[in-house]
Amino acid sequence: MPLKRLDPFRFIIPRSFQKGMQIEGLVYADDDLIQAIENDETLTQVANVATLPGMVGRSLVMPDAHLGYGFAIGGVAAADLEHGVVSAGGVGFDINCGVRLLATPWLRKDVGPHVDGLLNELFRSIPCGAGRSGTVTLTPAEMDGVLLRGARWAVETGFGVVADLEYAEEGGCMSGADPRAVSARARQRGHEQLGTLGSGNHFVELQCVGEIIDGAAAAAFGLSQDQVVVMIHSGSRGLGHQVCTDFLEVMQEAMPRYGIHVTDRQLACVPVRSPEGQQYLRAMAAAANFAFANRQLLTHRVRAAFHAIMGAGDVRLVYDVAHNIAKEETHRIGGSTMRVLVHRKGATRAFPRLRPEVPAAYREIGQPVLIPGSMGTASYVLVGTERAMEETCGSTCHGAGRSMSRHAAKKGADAESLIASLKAKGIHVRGASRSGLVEEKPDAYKDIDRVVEIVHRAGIAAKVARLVPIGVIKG
Amino acid sequence: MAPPAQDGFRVLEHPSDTGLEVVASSWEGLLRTAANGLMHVIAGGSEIRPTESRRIVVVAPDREMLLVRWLSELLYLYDAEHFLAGSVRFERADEHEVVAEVAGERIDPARHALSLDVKAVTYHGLAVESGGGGWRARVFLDI
Repeated sequence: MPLKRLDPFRFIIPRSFQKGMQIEGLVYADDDLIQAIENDETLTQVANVATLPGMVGRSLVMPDAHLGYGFAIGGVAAADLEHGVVSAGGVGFDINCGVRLLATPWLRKDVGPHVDGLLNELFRSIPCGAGRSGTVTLTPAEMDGVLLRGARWAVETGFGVVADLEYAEEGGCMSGADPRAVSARARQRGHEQLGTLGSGNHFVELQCVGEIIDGAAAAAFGLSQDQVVVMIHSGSRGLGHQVCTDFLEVMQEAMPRYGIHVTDRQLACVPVRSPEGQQYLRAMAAAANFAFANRQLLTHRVRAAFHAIMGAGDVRLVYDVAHNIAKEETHRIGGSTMRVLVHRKGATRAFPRLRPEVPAAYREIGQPVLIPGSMGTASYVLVGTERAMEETCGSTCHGAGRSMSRHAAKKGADAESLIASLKAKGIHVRGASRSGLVEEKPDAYKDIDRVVEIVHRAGIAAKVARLVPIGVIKG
Repeated sequence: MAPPAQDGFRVLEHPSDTGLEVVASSWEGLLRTAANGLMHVIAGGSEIRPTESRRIVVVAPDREMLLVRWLSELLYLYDAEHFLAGSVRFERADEHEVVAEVAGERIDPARHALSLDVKAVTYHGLAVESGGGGWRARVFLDI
C-alpha cells in the first residue's frame, strides 16, 4: 500500500504516489473505509488535485469520499490566491448544494399521528422530481435580485423572516456575486426552478432528535431530546449546473494561455486572479445565492405545511451550510497565515468557536455542521473545531457518501418492499420516482454513524446530536 | 476496431452517477445514438413524438468537446424548454461543427416517465475513438 498511516484515522498520500504532485494528499478514514476508497480511482483523483498549480497545504479527502468528476467527492483543496488556480469542476455542477436544518416547537409524540398529513402537504406544495417547474416564475429583474441577494431576496419577498438571515453560512448571501456573469442560458434553466427540490439525492426529511451527545452545544443550537426537526437538502438547480458547464468550457479554452495542462479535462482551471477566474467566482457566487434563495423558499413551504397541519408555532432556522463551494478564507498553512481559495467539493465548513463568521448566538460554541445520512438512516449535527481549522481549512465531511452505483442499487430491489421496510422502521416515504427511490436505498451509501465517528475521533468536527428520520420526501 | 453490427449504447456504472458507452458505424450515427442514450437516461423508454423541432448548431475545437457540447445542448433544451429530443437530421457533422434539426416534443407527464434530472454532461473519462470503420465513445453524466 503506497499510503503512509499517521494514526487510526489519517492516511498520507505521499508525493511519490503520482508524478507532478506539488503537495501531499491526506485521507480521513478507518481500516475498512480506506479499503473501499482504495478500490476505485478516488486516491488518483485526490492526487490529481495535488498536481494543480498553486495548491497549498494538503489535498484532502473526507471519510465519505468516493469517485467524482475531476475532484473526488469529499475533497477539500486550498489554492494560494496569488499563484493558485480556481477550478469550476472543483466546486461541481450543483453549486452551493447544501443542507439546512429547521427546529420545530413540537415533540415526536405530538407530530407522530400527523406524519402522513405533513408529508402529503409537503409533497403537494414542493415541486420535486425530474422535469418539474416551481410555483415562482422569475422576471429578469427578479432573477437579478435572487442572484445578488440570495436568501435576503427571498425574505424581502415574503418567503421567510429576517432572523433566518443570521443563521446561514454567509448570511444566505454570498458577496461578490455579479448577475451579469451568469449566462442567459443559465438564467433560462433556472427561471422556473426556484423553490423546487430536484431529483437524485435531494430531500426534505422530518426527523427527531434521537440522542444528545453534547448538551451545551445542543442547547445553544436550540435542540432537545425528541424534538422534531426538518432537514432540507437541495442546491442551485439547473442554473448552477449551467454556470459550471459554461465555465468548464471557458477554462478549457483559457488554460493554454496560462500554460496549464491537466490530466483530466474535468479538472480545467485558471489562475484565481485571471479575468476568467474572477468572472467564474462572480458567477459561482450568484449561483450560490440562487441556492440559498431556493432553500429559503423550501423553508417557507415547510413552515406553511407545519402551520396547516400542526397549527401555530415557531419553526426556527438552526443553520444552513454549503457543501459545494469555493471561498476566499484566511488560514494558517505551513506556519504562515495566508489568504486562500478553499474548494469544498462535497465537504462542509466546520469553523470553531469565537470565529466572526459564526452567528453571535453560537459564537461561544462554534458553527453547526449539518451532516445528512442516507434515506432511512440517521443524520447528525456536529460543531466545528480548532483542529479542523489547523488541519482542514476548517472543513469536514458532508454526508454518508455513496458506496454503490445507481445501477447496482436497482439490482434485486423494488420500491414497494423498500417503502414497506422503511415503514416497518417508522419512516414514512413519498417519492417522485419509484426508480429514484430505489437508487437512494440506505445500503447504497456508507454507514453514516461510522463516517461521523471518524471525523469526530479525528477531531475535525465534534458530535452534538444524532437525528433519526420519521418521514421523507424524495425528489 | 471492427465496425459495429448496429449503432447502440449501453449505460455505464459510476459510483455516484451514470455514463454511456456508444458505438456506431459513422460519426453522425455516434452523435445520434449518444442523443438517444441521453434521452433514455432522462425519460426511460418513453416514446418521443416528433411534434416540433429545434435547430442546433455547436462548434468545438475537437470531437470530444463537440460530443459534450452536442449533448449539453440537448440537455439545455430539456431543462430550460422541457423539450425531449427524438429523431435527428444532420445538415453537417464534422470534427469541429454539428448543425442538426432535432424533432421531438415537450414533456407530457401523462406519457413520459421521467426518473432523474441529469445535471450536466461531464468531461470525466471522456473518450471518442474511431477505427476499422466504426466509432466508439464514452461519456459520463452528472445526476
